[in-house]
Amino acid sequence: MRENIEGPTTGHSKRRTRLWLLRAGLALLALAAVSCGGPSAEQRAEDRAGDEPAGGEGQATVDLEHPSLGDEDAPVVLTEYADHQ
Amino acid sequence: MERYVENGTLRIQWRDFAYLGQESVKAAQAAREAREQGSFWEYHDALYENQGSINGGTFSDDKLTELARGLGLDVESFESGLASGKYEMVVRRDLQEAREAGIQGTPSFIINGQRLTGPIPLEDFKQVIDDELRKTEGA
Repeated sequence: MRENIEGPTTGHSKRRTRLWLLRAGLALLALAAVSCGGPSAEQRAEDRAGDEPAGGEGQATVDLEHPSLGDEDAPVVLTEYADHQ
Repeated sequence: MERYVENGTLRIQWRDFAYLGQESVKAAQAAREAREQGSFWEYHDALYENQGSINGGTFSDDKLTELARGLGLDVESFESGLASGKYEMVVRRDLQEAREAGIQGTPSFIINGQRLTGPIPLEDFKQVIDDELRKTEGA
């Protein structure tokens, strides 16, 4: 005859044990999400960019405008495409 | 042409079509550096006045710096800017955009959407500009 060394268990106590384990597991998952998650890589990059002034020390400024001559509102616009060589 | 610019009729825009090789790209970058010092057009003219063999050293870094010195530019700033290559992408972007717009050779001009290619007599320019001016006045 098999000896029950753990003592008698009821269906009610088994359900309570499972419920407790489930709650503990959910709590651990939530903790992991908080410590490993946080802002996305893009958000972190944006945050870093926001901390640094544009064109700060060591950064070259580049004028993207095309060289031009004359009134901005001139009725005739001539665009020249050429090579200096 | 100068008269048209001065009386507010004409605006001239420059696009680099640096397609002849590395010295074309360097010269275009150098002109952009000169522009930072308010001397784009003077430097542009100096480049044309000093044209030589294509990619044969006419527009080496040293020669480009000499042109800047001749115009009284801040050479130290010019040299460091040119060495950084900060305008290379801008110059290459100009070429790419021009090709996408159908430009195939130089010089090419677009006057209010009308394309002219090759060496154009000054009188032809005047004619097109006057025609365009009449159109805008009549609109």
